[in-house]
Amino acid sequence: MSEKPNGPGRARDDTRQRILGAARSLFAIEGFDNTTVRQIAHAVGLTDAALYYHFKSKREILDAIWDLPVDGGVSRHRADGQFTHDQLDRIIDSAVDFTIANDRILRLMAREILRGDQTALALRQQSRSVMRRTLREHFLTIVDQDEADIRTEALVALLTGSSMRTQLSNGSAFPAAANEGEYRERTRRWARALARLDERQAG
Amino acid sequence: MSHSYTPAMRRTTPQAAAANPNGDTRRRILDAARALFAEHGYSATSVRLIARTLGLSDPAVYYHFPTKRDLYKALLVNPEYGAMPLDSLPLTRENLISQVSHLLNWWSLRPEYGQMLLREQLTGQEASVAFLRGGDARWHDHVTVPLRQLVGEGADEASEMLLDIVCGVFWDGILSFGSQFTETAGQPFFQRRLRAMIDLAIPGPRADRP
Repeated sequence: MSEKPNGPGRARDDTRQRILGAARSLFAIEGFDNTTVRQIAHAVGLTDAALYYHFKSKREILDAIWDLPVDGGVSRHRADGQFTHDQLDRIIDSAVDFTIANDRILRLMAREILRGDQTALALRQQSRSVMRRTLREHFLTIVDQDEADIRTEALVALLTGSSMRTQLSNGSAFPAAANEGEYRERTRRWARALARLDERQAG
Repeated sequence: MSHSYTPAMRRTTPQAAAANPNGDTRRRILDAARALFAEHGYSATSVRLIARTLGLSDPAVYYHFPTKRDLYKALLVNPEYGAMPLDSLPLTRENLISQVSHLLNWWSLRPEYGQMLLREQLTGQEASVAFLRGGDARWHDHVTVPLRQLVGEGADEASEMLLDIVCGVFWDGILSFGSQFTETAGQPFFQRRLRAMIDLAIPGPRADRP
């Protein structure tokens, strides 16, 4: 059955999205354990019962929140000829966009991992492995495997450290307080310095 | 080479802290609290839980720390990094790499401490975020100053970048491996790779690559 743009399906989707949005904020601020279903229902103006119509449990809401694109579009960058600065910039931009767009959820993910949540851990590992694979594939066009691994790990560590340090020191004001343009520019510049694309191995 | 690394298997569990009746009470309270905060988070850890873990009464804990907040703040003291490689070795690229490795290795021996801090930093808890910012000053003394002498121009930016990389390695380590990160970081493979990554981030020709 196809749903009309303004039919009941659309309204249900809309409520679902509002619940997820409210839960995302509350979980990020209060943590999963400290947030009640009642608080979430209250935030979107629903009764508890109405919320349970959409999600059977608080855990089910969390699982739906995890349903995000794991790689932020990083995997669409394919190695093509020798790794260039422009290609590197585009990969870094995708990573930065992903961090900025998903700040709250990434924070929540880290908190849930620290609590021992295996789903959150698996998601994080998956998204990182896409990043690793993409960078490694590009580095292999200019250096050998061992060297490609080192440069890939260094860039992954840089992206993790830069984004988390900026997030943590700016608190809930991130990304606005981080000055998005400057943050992006700096990350690009550092990635270029670290990648040393001018240092290639013959062969 | 001075960077040989021995993982000290000194993980503090709440139980281990409780089983050590000889340590002074204040020390034992701090050890148990650090481990419990790391495991359950600050807000979910009560003073009562800390006291019970140690077989103490609540007032015995309050005698040393009037509030839970005081207890937490007492944990946020400046890290004692001990003797740094560059305290005794000449300033060379190799030795600066050892210096940066030393800092990461200090933290890799204390994954619970890192987990406890990260947990609270993620929620924007003031004291923990201030502790993170305070780390910048220590980094300045241990890394930025020698890096300036070694490479001159570009040192400050490279030092910032190195700090991000080291933080990234540590945070990724505790998120991926939890308290097992100590063992992972103790592997020769990990140490070799860490040095190569630091080398990459220091401007100028690399130490061990053509």
